[in-house]
Amino acid sequence: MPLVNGIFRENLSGGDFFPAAYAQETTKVFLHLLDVSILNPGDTTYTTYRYVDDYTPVTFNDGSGDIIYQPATFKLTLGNDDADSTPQVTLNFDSGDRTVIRRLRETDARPKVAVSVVISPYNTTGTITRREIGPISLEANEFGFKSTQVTVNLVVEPILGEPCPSSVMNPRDAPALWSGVPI
Amino acid sequence: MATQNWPADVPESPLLDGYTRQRQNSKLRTSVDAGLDKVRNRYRATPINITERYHFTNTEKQDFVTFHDDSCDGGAERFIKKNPETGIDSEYRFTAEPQYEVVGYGSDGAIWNVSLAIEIMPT
Repeated sequence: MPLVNGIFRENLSGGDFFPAAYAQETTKVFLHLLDVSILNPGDTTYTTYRYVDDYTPVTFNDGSGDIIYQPATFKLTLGNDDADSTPQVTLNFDSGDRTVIRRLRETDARPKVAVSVVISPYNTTGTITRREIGPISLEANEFGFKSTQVTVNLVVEPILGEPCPSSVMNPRDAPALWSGVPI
Repeated sequence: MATQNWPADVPESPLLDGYTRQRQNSKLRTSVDAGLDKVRNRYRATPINITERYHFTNTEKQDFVTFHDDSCDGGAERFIKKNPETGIDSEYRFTAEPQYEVVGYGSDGAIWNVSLAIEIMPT
C-alpha cells in the first residue's frame, strides 16, 4: 500500500508495531483513535469529540493527562495514491447519537480529523501510552449524512496549489533548480 | 452505564436447561499467498451471547414485562443482573424480544416459560 508509506512512514513509532503487524498470530489489537474537532459557532475555539473503534472506552495517556475515547463504529478507507494529487481518506462513521451530525450541520469551517493507530493487548482495559501511527491530521472537504451515519471525505493539507516562495526557491538557496537556466 | 436493575421479585437464576453461551467473534483472519492465515483480534473485548430460560409465575411474568417494556424502554436499555456463571453482577442487553409460553397453571394463574436472548457487555 504505497499510500500508507506516503502518509505514515515518518510517523511510525516502531516498537511493537512491526512484530504485531507481521506476526502469524498476535495477542495485540490494533485500534484506531479518532479526534474530530469542530469549530464552535461564532467562536474561534474547537470542540473535540474522541472515538475508538472498540466496544469499550479507551484511556490514552502519553504523559499529558488521561484522554478518554468513546466506543463508536467507523471505518477508514484509504484512497488511490495518485502522483499528481494529495492523498484522500474516506471515513464512514456511525456516531450512535446525533451530536456530531448536529455540530457538523452548524459549522461553516472544515472539521479537522486526527487519526491515530494504537496497540493494546487483548482482553485488557489498561491505559494506552503510545501512538504507533499518527496522529495524522486531515481536513474534511465534504461530508454527507444518512440517519446517524456520516460519510466524510478527508484530505491532507492542500499543498499542490501553494506557490513556491521566491525567498527560498532562488538561485542562491536552491542552485540545482536553476542549473542551465539563463538568468 | 446501566441504570436498570433486574426486578427484585423476579427469579434471577435461569434454568439449567436451555442455557447457552457464545462469545461474539472478534477474530480477523487474513489470507496470505502461501502458508497459514494470519489471525489477530479486531477488538479488545466482545459481548457474549447468552440464551436463558426461566419459569415465572403470573405475577413474576407481569413484573418482568414491566421491567422489559417500561424500565428498559422496550429492551433497548442495558440492565444489571447476577451472572449465573460467576455469581457477580454483570451488564446485559436484550438481543431479541423475550418469548413467553404458558406451560401450566398454578394458584397465581398461568405458569410461564420465558426464553431470553441477551448479551453480556464487555467492561
